[in-house]
Amino acid sequence: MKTLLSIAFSLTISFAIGQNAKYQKAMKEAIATLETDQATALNKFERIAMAESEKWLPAYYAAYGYTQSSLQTEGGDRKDALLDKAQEWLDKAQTIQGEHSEIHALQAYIYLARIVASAARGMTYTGKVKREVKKAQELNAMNPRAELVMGMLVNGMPAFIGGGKDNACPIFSAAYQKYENFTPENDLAPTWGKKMNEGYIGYCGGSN
Amino acid sequence: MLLIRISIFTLIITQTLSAQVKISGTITGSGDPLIGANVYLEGTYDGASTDAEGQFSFTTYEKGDAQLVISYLGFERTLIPLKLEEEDILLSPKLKPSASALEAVEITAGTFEASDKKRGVALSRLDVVTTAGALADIPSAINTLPGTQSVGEAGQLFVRGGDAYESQTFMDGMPIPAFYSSQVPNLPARGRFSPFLFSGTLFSSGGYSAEYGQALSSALILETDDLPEENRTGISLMSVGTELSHTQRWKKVALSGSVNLTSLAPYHSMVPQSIDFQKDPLSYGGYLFARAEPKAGESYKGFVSYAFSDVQAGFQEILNPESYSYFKAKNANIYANGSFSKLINDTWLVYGGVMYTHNEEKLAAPQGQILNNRKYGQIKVVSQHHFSSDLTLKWGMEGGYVSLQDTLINDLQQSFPFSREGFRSAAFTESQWKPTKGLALRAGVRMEQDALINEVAFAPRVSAAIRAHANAQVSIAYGKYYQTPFADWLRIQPDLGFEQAEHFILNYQWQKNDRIFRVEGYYKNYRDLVLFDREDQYNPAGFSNEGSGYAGGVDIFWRDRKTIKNAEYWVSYSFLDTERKYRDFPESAVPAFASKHNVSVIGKYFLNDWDTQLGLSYHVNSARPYHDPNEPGFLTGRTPANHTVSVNASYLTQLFNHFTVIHVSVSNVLGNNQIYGYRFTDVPDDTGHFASQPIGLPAPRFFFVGLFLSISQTNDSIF
Repeated sequence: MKTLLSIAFSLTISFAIGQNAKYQKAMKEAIATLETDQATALNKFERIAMAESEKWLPAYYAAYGYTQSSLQTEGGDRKDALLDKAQEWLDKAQTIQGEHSEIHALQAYIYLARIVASAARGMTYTGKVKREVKKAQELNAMNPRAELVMGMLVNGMPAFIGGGKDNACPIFSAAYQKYENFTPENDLAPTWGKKMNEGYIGYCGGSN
Repeated sequence: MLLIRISIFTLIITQTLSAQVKISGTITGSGDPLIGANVYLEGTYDGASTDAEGQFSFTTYEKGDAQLVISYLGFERTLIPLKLEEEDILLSPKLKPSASALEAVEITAGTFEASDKKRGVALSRLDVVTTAGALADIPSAINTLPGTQSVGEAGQLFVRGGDAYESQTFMDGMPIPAFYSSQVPNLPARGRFSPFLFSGTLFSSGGYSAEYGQALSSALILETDDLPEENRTGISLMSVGTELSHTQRWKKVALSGSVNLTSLAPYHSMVPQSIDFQKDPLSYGGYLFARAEPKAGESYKGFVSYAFSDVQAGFQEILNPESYSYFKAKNANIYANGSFSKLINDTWLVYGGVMYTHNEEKLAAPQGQILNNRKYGQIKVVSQHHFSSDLTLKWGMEGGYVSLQDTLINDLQQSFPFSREGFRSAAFTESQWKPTKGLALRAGVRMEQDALINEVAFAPRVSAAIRAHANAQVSIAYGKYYQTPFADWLRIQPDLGFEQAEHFILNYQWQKNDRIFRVEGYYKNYRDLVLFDREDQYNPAGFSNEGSGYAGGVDIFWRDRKTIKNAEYWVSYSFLDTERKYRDFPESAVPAFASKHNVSVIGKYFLNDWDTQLGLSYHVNSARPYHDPNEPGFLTGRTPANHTVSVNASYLTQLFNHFTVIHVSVSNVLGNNQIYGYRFTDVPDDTGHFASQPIGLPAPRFFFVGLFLSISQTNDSIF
């Protein structure tokens, strides 16, 4: 009896370990291709997210993937359709995880992408981006992605309301420091944006 | 130890018992291979993305019944049942474009829609405040769209041969019965509400949904902002007055308040006017606005405003230019609007609201006085069901109350009170079906009942849109529209029936990358219009529903936000052919507000280096009819065409570290003479001639200077 139980137990455990190992492996693979083959990575995250309805990270990454696709695609309507998908996934991630600094940082990024899709929205969405950045920083003052999104927003804003390159560069520098000191919560936690920020540092004409 | 051994063992067993199955194929949609489609087995990670040829291939250890899922943005999510055994599987499914996804056709006949969320086709609030000549007035800005007639001395919307009373304005689904401020004759009225209150505007010049009633010609549907992002204080200092507003945002609730004072006295003391203002236009008021979103999919709004205005103006007497005839308009208005919307579940939305208006007007002319005391109330509930992404049904009910307590006082100080009150109700149902991405069908019917006139009417409305070619679509619409006769006539004779109009609309719209072109042809058939005795306008026996008319025309619109960097422009052209017999018309004629051709050209240019936006607008309307008692016939006179050029500039800066806009505008900057019509003496002179005087602007130009300061935590925008 005892043996039988332990076999049953071990079967369950092994299944669980197997599942988790499979999850870890699939996520790592997808994260690894995030910068090289974004479309494939996005599809992979979406597949994992569909199968793992209890985990927030796949949904989070799917939202990130759609946001990136939106920023890289042409045409306002298509950009918006992709952002609608991004928002759907982020809402799902939020439902599963609740409050998290990274979720707010990504929300800020999605709002920023809405402005990119139609500049006329700047007036209303600027406030939304700032609000989300603030929330992200309240939950984790050292979140470099919140800082990066803020820098991108300020860079795009006209100078008369405190925007432009001169105002944005100090923010990118601050983000640089945060990226340098950032330790992700675990192997799968978000780390994106470091290279993007370095790009901005270059554009600002400094090493950091 | 045993445990570990068994685990490893079971792991090996799971691996070895199953042989891999390869699933591969090509995915196409609308005839082309789909690149980057996601293909996978439901509930597993097993899957792949399609490559540049639309091909995919992956392997799986899954066995038995499985579902293959194919998803791609813009196409229906497709499920294919598979039986996974030993053999590899090869398939080449074709995806159907999804009806709800992007580029599905929308019914656009008659409508111009814009909101902060949607990528605007028409006018956003930003457009309203930056259109030169519009002076941040919603109806004035809407007047730059095709289908509208420029009627400079009225300031109201006249749509496609329809009189001003045929247009109804709605706020969050509820009507605004007294949308315009009261004004003396021949001075333009303004819309009551600031464009900053609204994030969405839908202007329909015909063929609108069964959800909206009591409007023969047009519906202007305004949606208020949802929860604002943050606390904000706004200070406006203008050459004509001041406004203070504050919004406080809590987690799920926001409260806004505003007070304003407008006086033209200082302006009139500097810029001479041809009108003798005994009392310069003065108005003050304010509003309170509460918004709450207790949870996602649930929203409540409550708005209440008060406004008071007063003006007394003297117009030169025609034969005796030294003396003036005086007109007065005094108005107090309370408007309350409460609305809610609640998502019951994913497919069921319920929304509605309540509205109450109390409008008191005192209008005085040399011939007598009119005291209007009118109350309107309404409740409305709508239930909307989304059976699928392409089939929706909504139905709703309205109950309303109208009370007119008007008094006419003649020049002998005799008063004639009129008291009318009654309930009205309406019910409607409407369904929209999009069988394919390229086709949308909408059909509805509205039942309108009014106890005041004791009538019931059924108004069918149908419309459809079909894709013509890439980025272009054709829409058609047909509808019947009923309206209770205008209160000014109803108070004299309540035994009247609904006035009715029938709309036929054919629309072509092309839209691509921030450029839009549309052309719309329409025909309207008016029946049962109220007709009364020209000689005795207060005789109830002279009233009947025997009037009729028609209006036909073509509206063309072109808007381009792409070609010129940092600039945008739009051009509207309206051709109108109309005649009607209504009101006091002795015969069918072109009404005085109707001009055959109207053209508006609006341009905006942002000077990056100067942080300044420049705006220019040009408007021309062809001859307008007027009645000349010296000529035989009715309304046979024609004014010259009117040309108006207006300019504005907004300089964006910071003041005390807060976002500030300094705005300057000049309406009719060239000082072109505007002739809207002529006034004639009541009696002819000795030679039998009626002397006349043109109706025009009180001053050739109107100058405006304003400073708008916005104080908020994040300090970034004026909204």
